[in-house]
Amino acid sequence: MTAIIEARGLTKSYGDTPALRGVDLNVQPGRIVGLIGPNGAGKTTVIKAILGLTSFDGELKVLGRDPRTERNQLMNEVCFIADVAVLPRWLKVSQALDFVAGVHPRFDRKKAEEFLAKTDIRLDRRVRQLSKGMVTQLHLALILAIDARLLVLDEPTLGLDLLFRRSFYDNLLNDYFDKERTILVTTHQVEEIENILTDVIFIQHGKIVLDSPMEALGERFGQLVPAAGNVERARALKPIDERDVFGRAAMLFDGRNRAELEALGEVRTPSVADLFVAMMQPGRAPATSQKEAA
Amino acid sequence: MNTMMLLVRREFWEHRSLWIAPLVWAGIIVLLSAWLFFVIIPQHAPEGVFEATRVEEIEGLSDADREEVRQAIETAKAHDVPKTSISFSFLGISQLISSFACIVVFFYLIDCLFTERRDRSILFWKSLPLSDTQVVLSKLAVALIVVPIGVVVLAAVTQLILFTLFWLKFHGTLLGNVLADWNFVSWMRALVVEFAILLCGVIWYAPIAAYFLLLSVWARKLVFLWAIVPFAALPALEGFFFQTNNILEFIGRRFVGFIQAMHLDPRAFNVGAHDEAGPHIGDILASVKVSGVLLSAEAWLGVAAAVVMVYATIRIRRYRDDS
Repeated sequence: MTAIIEARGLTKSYGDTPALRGVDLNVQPGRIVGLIGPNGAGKTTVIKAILGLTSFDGELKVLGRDPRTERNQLMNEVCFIADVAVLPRWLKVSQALDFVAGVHPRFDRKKAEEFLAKTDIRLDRRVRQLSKGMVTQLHLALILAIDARLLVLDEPTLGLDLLFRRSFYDNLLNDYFDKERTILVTTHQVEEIENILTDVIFIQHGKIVLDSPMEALGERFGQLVPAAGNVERARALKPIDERDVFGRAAMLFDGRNRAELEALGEVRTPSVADLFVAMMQPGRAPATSQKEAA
Repeated sequence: MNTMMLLVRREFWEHRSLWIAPLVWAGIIVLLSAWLFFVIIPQHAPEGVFEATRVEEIEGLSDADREEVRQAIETAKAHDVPKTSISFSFLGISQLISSFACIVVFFYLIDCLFTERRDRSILFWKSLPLSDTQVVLSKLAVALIVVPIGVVVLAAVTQLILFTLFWLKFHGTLLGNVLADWNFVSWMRALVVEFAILLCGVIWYAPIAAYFLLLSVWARKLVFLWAIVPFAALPALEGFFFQTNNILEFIGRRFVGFIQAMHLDPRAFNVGAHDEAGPHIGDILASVKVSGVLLSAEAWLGVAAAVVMVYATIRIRRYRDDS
């Protein structure tokens, strides 16, 4: 199957500061990929490279095109929401519909109007008169009505309250996503999106430290709460992280046999947030990519 | 083409001063003129002068004065003053509105590619299938095509309103017979001259517009200062270090040189000559030579510079990553 995004050795520096150090990506159609990393890890730089918004070294194909030289054609099939602040404040809702309908050949105005009809957003309002949540709804209405193959979301729910965040992702799944479309999303709120992701990518210091389908996480990682007396035996298996939870040790293992761990105590599949915390610790060696290993 | 039209419309949505400010300015001109026609002139003129339909009706004049007034009216008619007043009032109003529009367009140009970076809305525009070339050219088209055409239309409407007001006040009087005698041909000729002046002005000012557009996409802050300081600082530095004023002359020529290049004869505007009733309309119209600009190397060197700067603007908008 042709990859939606295929990157080999992406590198980029801002002055003396490296932002990307040889990033490899392979995103297949019909996936919802979470690109997760701490501040300054290089998430936004990866996204800017994919969207042709910044220069970089290395090979990158998005929908088979080079974003550096074919950005104009690419944007017919790619949509993105950078964050809630980018809709111009002077723009009226009706003007936003008129404009996108006029310039985007894949925009379905009726669909956008139907979406907006379910909100409190009036067509004669300007963006500056809308709340932050409403601006996001408007942006989402515009984007969901575009028949794009790739949707890129960079911190799309930043600064929104829980209700808006939840409804944002619900709408994304119900009104947009299907097997033909691909979503790449970066966010800090890992817990809220881990249930909708099909793949997770961790990036740290400009390098990919984890790239795995969600269903493979359970096979590869295990969180063990060892029974009393088994703690030292568990430690001998070299957990990648150990925390105290209510006075008991909770250890995270990478690549250990589940049966081996179950013999030592209670085992469960760690959440993406648990993995994130464990893997982003200073001094932690980069993990092997599941896809690369495969 | 539809995309370009929509991009141009978008500019007027965002920069409402582009159409509101000239409209308000034209409204002020109309109000001040109405005040002049209906209040100031009747208050300060000798009683009965403006109501008189014949020289004999003006009271308090000696026979010699009456003869002088009669002669003045005959001279005025002989010099096509009715036609000239139509043409010159049109050109005058056009100049008032276009000078004002130049200021509005200046602020538009330095702002249009700067604000979208400051408020990060550039990321929204860049999420749509629009090329940087289309976006930059749409902004240039607003400044050099749409606004100038709008200026002529607004000037025409303003003049028609002013003429109507003047006619309502003075028609049937001696003054009205001289100054409020509608002449469509004169009006059309003035319209053609105004278009010629605008065409030459647009070609002449293209590099200045492109320079402001380039600053707008390039400056990270203080774009207004970047736009005006070099025009003051460079001549001052040249004068200080070399005691010459070549840069000042160059700047002056880039701003008003097209008037000279069009061979507009200043004597055609010589309305102050005592024995003349006013400039002959034929003189001013005949003196305008669009070819003076269209065939001038200076104009086309300017256009070439504008092309280079617009190209640089497009490249910077495309590749600069400061979002």
